Formats: sequence, structure tokens, C-alpha cells
Amino acid sequence: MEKGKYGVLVLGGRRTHQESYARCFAEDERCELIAASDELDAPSEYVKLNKQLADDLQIPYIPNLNEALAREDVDIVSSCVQNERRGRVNVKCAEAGKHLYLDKPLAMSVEDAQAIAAAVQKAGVCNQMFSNMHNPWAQAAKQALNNGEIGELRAIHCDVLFAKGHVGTAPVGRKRVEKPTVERYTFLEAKREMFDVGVYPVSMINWLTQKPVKTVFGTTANYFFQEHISCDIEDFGALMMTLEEGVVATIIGGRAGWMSHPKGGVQRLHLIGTRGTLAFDGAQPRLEVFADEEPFRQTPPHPMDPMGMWASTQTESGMVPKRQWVAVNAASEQQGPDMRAFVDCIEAGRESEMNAAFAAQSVAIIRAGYESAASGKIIEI
Amino acid sequence: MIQSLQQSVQSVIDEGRIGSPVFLRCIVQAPINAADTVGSIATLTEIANNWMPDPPEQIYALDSIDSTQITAMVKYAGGQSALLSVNRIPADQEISVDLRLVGNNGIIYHETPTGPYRLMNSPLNLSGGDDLVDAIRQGLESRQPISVMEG
Repeated sequence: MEKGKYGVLVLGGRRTHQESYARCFAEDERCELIAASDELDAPSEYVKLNKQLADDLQIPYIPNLNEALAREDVDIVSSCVQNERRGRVNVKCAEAGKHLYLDKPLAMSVEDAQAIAAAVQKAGVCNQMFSNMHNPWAQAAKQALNNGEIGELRAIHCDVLFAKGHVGTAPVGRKRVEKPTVERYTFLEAKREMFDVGVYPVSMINWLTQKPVKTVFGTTANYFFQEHISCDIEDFGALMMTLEEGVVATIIGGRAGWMSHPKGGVQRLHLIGTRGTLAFDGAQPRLEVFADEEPFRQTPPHPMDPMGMWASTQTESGMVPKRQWVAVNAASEQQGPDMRAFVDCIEAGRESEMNAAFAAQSVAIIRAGYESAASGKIIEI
Repeated sequence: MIQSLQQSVQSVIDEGRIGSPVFLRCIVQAPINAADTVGSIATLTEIANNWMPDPPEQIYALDSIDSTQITAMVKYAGGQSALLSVNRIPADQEISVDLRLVGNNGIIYHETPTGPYRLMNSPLNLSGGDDLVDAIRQGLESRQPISVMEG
């Protein structure tokens, strides 16, 4: 650590989660953004986006990742490279001895996820995958479980559904034919939503229960968007799982359109126990404001981001944020606490509760979900 | 309560406001007897079947050893799906229904009034769906998805 601050190298450019992760690190007084970088032979369209984000952040762009990793003023890598390259790139960062803040999902394949987990363990670097575990509702749920407020856990249900994109373009009543393997994750116009969004509730259930998943039964669908059909990927997925000690768990992950929710979308958790039940919601507690003001309207799809995945393209589209619901606890809408907790782990020399080894479980579960959706069978983990 | 809720949701579907229903999440907490959990999930399944535009094909149900809860995933012929849960709670706790019916063009949300509003709920009457009970029991015993195709 030079200058008394952790130097952060950012991988991934505009139209990645690095848009927000980098700013969260920049806002942490213990950190300083050093540079942006990528593999020397990274696809040119991504290099262009990397340079754009580097300019936005007013940091230099280093074209050769090896050179960037050799810098002694880089302590942390915030990694948001394409899912298809995460295994190779994140292993390299760990081998360079850098602490790793990892975008979700950890990797596209179980093998890549395990390789990352093995590399960070061998290197002895601190590592964490982005998740919702530091959101106030998740912390409240964890505390309730730890305090035994519902008795013994019997079931857990968690939904995350993003309210983004322009729906109504997928044909009605057509069953999706799923494939057991995931060949590609990243497309310009869409992402695999059971992976991209489903990783939130799956990792939440893993973290809250600390119980290994034993079986997975799943379904995927194309309910909303022609863009997903064109890429032959799903826009919705649901999983039903059994956990150790007979706990039943279900999740949904998907994207249901801009107008489907007054805020960013459904984030809800139910805990079912022998002594009662509890529910937690990412949009509670809240104010609800109805006023004589311009209502939210979806803007035409951005040609480079029709699903509205990124802040930069939403800004370019002139989209006005939804204002009807206002969080009582501003922390419930912030990503910063997750990065701060990661830096806390570095400082304390302790493992993150969502380290790569733990996050790899989510990859295995979701991949089993695809296998189940393809075969119609229950998949044992 | 379930019947009036069913009708109000149906009216929104009929108006075409959410497009075609594609997914239902419904979680019910009720002070029912352990022996009634299968019948209750059968009721929810029948409600889901009535809202969905295509017939059910498969149901996969799992319960707890003490019948604290029962959860089912239903898959439909047109690719629609449902996740339904009934949770048995002590008699002194509040009944609640958390429902999200997702259409291809919008979502219906419903939560029963709780806390000081709880007396605005009508009594929960989970009845119906008797013809699904055998299939659900069969699934619970085998712990496998069961075909429920009509005809």
C-alpha cells in the first residue's frame, strides 16, 4: 500500500458493473483508483469501452494487464471482465498477489469458478464476489435467523426480478427449449437472466442458510423479450431446491420490464420456520410519493443497451429515474457497503463471507438449474 | 378472501392489463392443520391453473417432515410456471398472502393487510383443487415431478 491508501486497478469498462463499482471504491477514503486495464488481446469493442470508463474516472488506461499487475501501487483489482474471460483473467490477478473484488456471477463455468477459488486461496489474497449480503434487508434476515426468531428453518424463498427493458416482444405461449450447457453468456443486447439475476437470490440463500444445496429442479423461459430469443437465452428462471437438513428453497431471477414495478424491481425474501415466518423486502421501509409531477416513462431502447442494464446508457437515453418510492434507509439502494466490507476484510486480514470458494457454489447451482430445465429432471449437486 | 382475491385478479387479467399470465408466485401463511397442507397447496394450484392460459403439465411438490410448509412448482404447456407455498403458522399469528402474478406485459402485486389492518381481511377459505390432491401426494411420496396433463 503506497500513499497510505489501497490502490485499485479496474478491469471492465462502460456497460459493465465497473461503472458503479469503481465509483464506490473511489468514494472509500481508504482507496484510490490507480488505472484501468485489460488483456492486451481483449476484443477491440471492449477496449474502447474500457478507455471510455477510464476517461470518465479520470484515470490512465494500461493496455497490457501484465504491466498493470506488475505495478506495486496496485493492491486491489476490481474485476468486471466478460464472464467468458473471468476464469483466466481473475486467476492471473490472484497469481499477481492482488486482492480481488469480483463481479457476479463469479464465472460462467464451474471449472472457471473453482480455478478462481483455488488461485485466490493459493495466493492468500482477500477476495469477494458482489452480492446483496450487505443490504439492510439481508442483514436483518441474517440476524433473525441467527437469533432463532422463527425456530428451525424449514423453507426459504427469494425473488429478484429487475424492472428493466421493453417487454411484450416475445411470442406468447411458446415453451423455451433449454440446453444443458452454457456456451455463451455475454451479448450486446441481453444476458442470461437466470445467471445474471438469479445469482443474487441463490447466493443470498447460500449465505443466509450456510446449508449446501443437494438437489435442483428448474425452469427457464422467454416471457418478455425478443432480444433474448434472438440470442437463444432465457429472460426468466425459477429454481426449486432441497438443502441439507431438508430445507426447501425456491428462487426466481429475471427481467420483467421497466413498467413492472414502481422502483428497480422485486427483491423479496421469505423465511419459514417452525415457530413462525418472516418476510424481508429490498424496498421496505419506504416513502410513497404521489405528486403532480412528471411520471416515469420508459425511453426508447438504447441501441447499444436495449435492456437498460447500464447507468451510462440510461443517462444517454435521457431516462428520468423512478421517484415514486423513496427508501427510508438510503443504504438499501447503495452498493458501497459491499465494497467497504471487502476493504474491511483486507484490513482485518479475514475472509469475506462471499469469497470465491463460497460464490462458486452459486455457479454450480445455477448450472444445475440449466441442466434441469433442459432435461426436466431433478439434478443432484 | 381467496375467492374474492381470485375474482379481482381475474378481472385484471380479463382487462388485458398485464398481458398474458406467465408466472405466479404465491406464499400463504395460515393457521391450518398439518393434515390440510396438501389440500391447501392443491387449492392454490387450482387457482394458478385457472389464471394461466395453458393447462398444467407437471407439478413438483416438497413438504417438511413436520408439515410446517409445502411448496410446489407447476409447469404449464405454454412454458408458464408457478411457485406456490403454504406455510402452517401458530393460531395466534396473522394470516397473510403474498402474491405476484407476472404477465408478459405487467405484474399484479397483492399483500394481505397485516398489523392494525388485519381485521380488513375476510376469513381465509382454502377449498377447491380436490382433483389435484392425489397427484400432489404421489409427488410428495416419490419426491419427483408428477405429470398432471389433462385429457
